[in-house]
Amino acid sequence: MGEEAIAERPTVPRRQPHVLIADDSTEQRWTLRLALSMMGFDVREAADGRELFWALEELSRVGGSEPSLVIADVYMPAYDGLEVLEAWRESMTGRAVILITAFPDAVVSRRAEALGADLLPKPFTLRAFSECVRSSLRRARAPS
Amino acid sequence: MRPKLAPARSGAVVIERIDRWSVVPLALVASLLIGVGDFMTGVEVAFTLLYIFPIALGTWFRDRAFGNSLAVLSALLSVAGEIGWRLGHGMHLHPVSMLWNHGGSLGIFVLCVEVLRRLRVYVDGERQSRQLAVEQLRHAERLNVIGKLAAGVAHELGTPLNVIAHNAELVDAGQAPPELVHHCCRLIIDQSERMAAIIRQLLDFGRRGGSDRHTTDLGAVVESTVRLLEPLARKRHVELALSLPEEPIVLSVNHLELGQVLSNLALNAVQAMPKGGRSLVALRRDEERGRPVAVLSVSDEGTGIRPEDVPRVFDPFFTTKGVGEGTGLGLAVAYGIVADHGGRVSISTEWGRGSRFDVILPLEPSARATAP
Repeated sequence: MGEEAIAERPTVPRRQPHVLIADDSTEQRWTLRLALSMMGFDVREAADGRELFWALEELSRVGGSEPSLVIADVYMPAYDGLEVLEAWRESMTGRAVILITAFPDAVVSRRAEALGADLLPKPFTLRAFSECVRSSLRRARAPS
Repeated sequence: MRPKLAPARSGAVVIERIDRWSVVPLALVASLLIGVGDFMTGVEVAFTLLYIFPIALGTWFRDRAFGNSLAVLSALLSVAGEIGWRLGHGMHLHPVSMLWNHGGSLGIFVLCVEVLRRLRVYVDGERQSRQLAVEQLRHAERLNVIGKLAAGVAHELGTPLNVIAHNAELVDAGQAPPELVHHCCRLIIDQSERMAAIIRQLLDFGRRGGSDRHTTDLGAVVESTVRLLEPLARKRHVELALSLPEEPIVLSVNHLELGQVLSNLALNAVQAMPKGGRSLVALRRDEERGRPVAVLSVSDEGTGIRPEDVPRVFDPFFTTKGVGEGTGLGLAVAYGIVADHGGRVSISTEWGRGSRFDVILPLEPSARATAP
């Protein structure tokens, strides 16, 4: 089901950087998708941890540099975002990762740091979001 | 009892070194020695023991100083008694024998005071530490609940707040394409309503208790609640079946709250069957540990609960449903109401096969008599 949902998304314009966004709230996904497309990104969506898992599985099979950015909610049904990203840790190298969470406790912060992901606590403004997206991408493109 | 590091008197060292374990055999041995001495010299043993009783009571209730005063008083009384008896019978006074007898008695009395005091200190200490432990547990539990509530509130309200703020920002900055502005506003309204609903539920969660209860026919409450829920269940292709006992079960309850318990459980059952199915709501009389109880069961043929999730289903904000489907407060509210009524909720579930929630409410013995 996850694979189909993602396969349906159009993946035509290769020039634009791709963003994979995983959030269980349809409204949140819609809004962030709108904001990201305004910023010139091509957006793919995953509606829960399972879809994110299959999207990343596909990524590890196909390879390539896109999506350059993965944004995932930590708390999602099926699997949580952190779990999935940790499972596909290898395919995350060279990509920017932003984790969104409403409850950024010490455990989540530590795991996010271990992943090299930016933690974006909810609620946040779109301005903060776009700054986080830019800085994450900058950091991922210029590895230390 | 710890020995003091810098004792003021050498006697205090000896006394402080006697702990609550060593003091009992010491007292026994001393009593035995004095008893044997009393017996050999022909003094009434019961007479000595008679003094012990008020000294013990005095020590237990008024502490050591009072007990010691009683001990000295008792020793003086027994001295006076013996002097009186000897003079009355024209006998000589034997200072050494009297010192031996009454000094021994005084020793026993003071030892008794010490035993009792230590016992009292021990009992008080135990009671205090138990109280402290219970309080700490309660505090930890409160913190735990508050922590969970905080995490739940943060998560449940964080997402809609985000959506509202982002859409407002998009509209405000004129970034949203004109054809999408209406949708953005719609999202803002929907998400505000969602937040309002969560806040209402939170208030429900906190407002329980202290409500008035009336003698109610449980069957009637169950039936009216099921009727109310039927249209919603039908929309989701769920058949709500009802099974009521032949004799009415009458209990003093808050019927509104109990209706809420049932509707929360039934909604949970309906949502557990996304493909539809049958949910049975059954009310029956049963016995638990010899006491009559009313059992309200809500069973479904849904997904069941994962074994690792079972201990958490009544936690506030625990939910396995997607965003917008459940806030994770329904079962917590139900559990709280049932607990307020002196009952409990038990779960039997099989992953992939369905679950059954049993609300068990104790029936007063008089409730039996009200059946026709």
